[in-house]
Amino acid sequence: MIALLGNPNCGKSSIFNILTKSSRKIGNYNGVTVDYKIGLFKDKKIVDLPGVYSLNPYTSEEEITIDFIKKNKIDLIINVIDINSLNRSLYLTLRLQDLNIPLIVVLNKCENNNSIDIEKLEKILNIKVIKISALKNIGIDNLKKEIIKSNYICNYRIKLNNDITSIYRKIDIITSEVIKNNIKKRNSFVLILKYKYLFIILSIVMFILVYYFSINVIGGIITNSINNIMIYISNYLLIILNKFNSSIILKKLILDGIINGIINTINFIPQLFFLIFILSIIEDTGFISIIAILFNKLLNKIGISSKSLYSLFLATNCSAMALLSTRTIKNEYERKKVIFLIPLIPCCAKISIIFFIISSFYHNSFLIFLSFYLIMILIIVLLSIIFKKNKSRLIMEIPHLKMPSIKVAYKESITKTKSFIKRIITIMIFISILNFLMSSFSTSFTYVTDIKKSILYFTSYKFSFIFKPFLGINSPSIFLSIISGLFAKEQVVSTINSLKVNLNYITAYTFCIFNIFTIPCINTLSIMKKECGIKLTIFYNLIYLLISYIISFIIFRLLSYFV
Amino acid sequence: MKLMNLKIDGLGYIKYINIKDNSLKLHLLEIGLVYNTKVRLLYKDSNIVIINYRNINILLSNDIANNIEVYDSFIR
Repeated sequence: MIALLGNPNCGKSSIFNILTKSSRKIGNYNGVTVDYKIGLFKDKKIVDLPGVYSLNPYTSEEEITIDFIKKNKIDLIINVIDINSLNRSLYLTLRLQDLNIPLIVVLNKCENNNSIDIEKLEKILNIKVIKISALKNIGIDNLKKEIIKSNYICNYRIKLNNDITSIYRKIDIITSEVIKNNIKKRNSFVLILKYKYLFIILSIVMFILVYYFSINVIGGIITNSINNIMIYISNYLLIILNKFNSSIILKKLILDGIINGIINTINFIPQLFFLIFILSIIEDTGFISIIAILFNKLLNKIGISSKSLYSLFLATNCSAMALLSTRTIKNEYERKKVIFLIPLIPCCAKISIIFFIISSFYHNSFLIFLSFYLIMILIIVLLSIIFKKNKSRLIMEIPHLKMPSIKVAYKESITKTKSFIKRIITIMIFISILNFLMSSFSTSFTYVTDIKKSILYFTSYKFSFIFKPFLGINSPSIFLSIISGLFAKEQVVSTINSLKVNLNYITAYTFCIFNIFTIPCINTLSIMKKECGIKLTIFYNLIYLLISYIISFIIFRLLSYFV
Repeated sequence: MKLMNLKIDGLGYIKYINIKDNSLKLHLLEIGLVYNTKVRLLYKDSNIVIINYRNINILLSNDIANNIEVYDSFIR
């Protein structure tokens, strides 16, 4: 087993992705990798581990790395170092040498830095040092060759003093010898902090523009074109089915169930793709850390630290992933609070419900979209204040701002969109068949055309009264669509379409609000259970149910009264 | 003097870390905040400070920064 080890945000996952042809999430901030992943390069197993600063773990994701090294037989450690922070990273290298495991050092991010005397560094450390750029694909072949020929026998051992100060003194001597010309990186974020308020306004405007563009421009032009294409495909399928004299049951299953569901969900793929792409670019620049600092005072007032903002930002992409990222939060109370808040932020799947509602009932109105987000922010702020506790200790490394990589953002958007489509199609076929069977057959298993005589109506009607206070109707289909959302939130849209749920512009709004705040999908639930235990998971989900129910009820009453 | 008493863009050299929590103290030392390390204060407000040392920027909450003592010049 070969282990990729290094400080956080030095590019381990990028190297892992190149070597194993994987698509692990990467980003320009600390703690993107919070769990290990094993991949294959040729016949060798490679493990990508969360970043560590030393062999003494401080946060829970660091514990995962150290535990892995202790419990598994590691044949070679690839110590990845950000060439721009050699001075700090060599501490881990010197510590790793103490483990007596074969070691090679990879100096990453060399695209803009040619200041290190590699030969001298190799000589001083007595380790093979390779200079690469995972971003620009420089030096990767050298690294691959080194791994292939690796049959390392550790025959060196630098005697280390346990005094940390003296280790750093040694590092200072090493770096003064190997750094040819010290490249002073411009601290661009100092300038941002100087014009703090201007950048606060600019960042708010930037996010509004991103969402506005994805709803109005992408939603208006591309989505409509896709819709037309899909309708054409649907008509073509109908002709084929007619040609083969297919039964009404089969036509209903394929066209009304599966195809109709797919069309209405795939409609939002361009919007989602654009949103993921832009958010990935923002993430890649390291701008999130700037936002965390800009809004630090405000966040502190509501009891959220700057570090938690990363997890909350990730939640706009996927709640499950964001829950895992909370491992970087040292304070347990704050971590559990952030875990509680994450499912309340609309992830990509929930955004597809919002996109569907605003395009079907509000002519892609950006104001309606904004209102969903304002309600969400209000609820999160209120809950944060309610659960506010004393300030927690905070240490957070701030990444240097960099130009984003379009390639990385594109790759991430493609991966996410593909998995989104895959999930929709697999779950949807199952749900569509189930829906079809339940809505087309009676309790005595005879085919019925009247839905009121179907199993669906018979079973769901008993529970559908629960939703009457905020939907105004007893609808078994609504009940089913909400239940299907438990498998995956994007499923809500396709189920609504397959079942042809009757919503108007008031009930559509409250239905969307209910779905934003209600219990998250099964995947998120299982990670939540893993991260904070079964009791807290049940407690949190009861609160989600209560919040979603009360808010949608209040909004329904207000809208019914005023509109 | 205390780290957070440095002026913005002011330089200091770590004297000692006066934190009782041993794991936190060890962490701070291991990330390079050792004796005589040159730090530059980039930003401070009522909750946090941001410092630059060894070519990295790090954000510390005030309760930590309050317990880091610095010299205003390098001590041999």
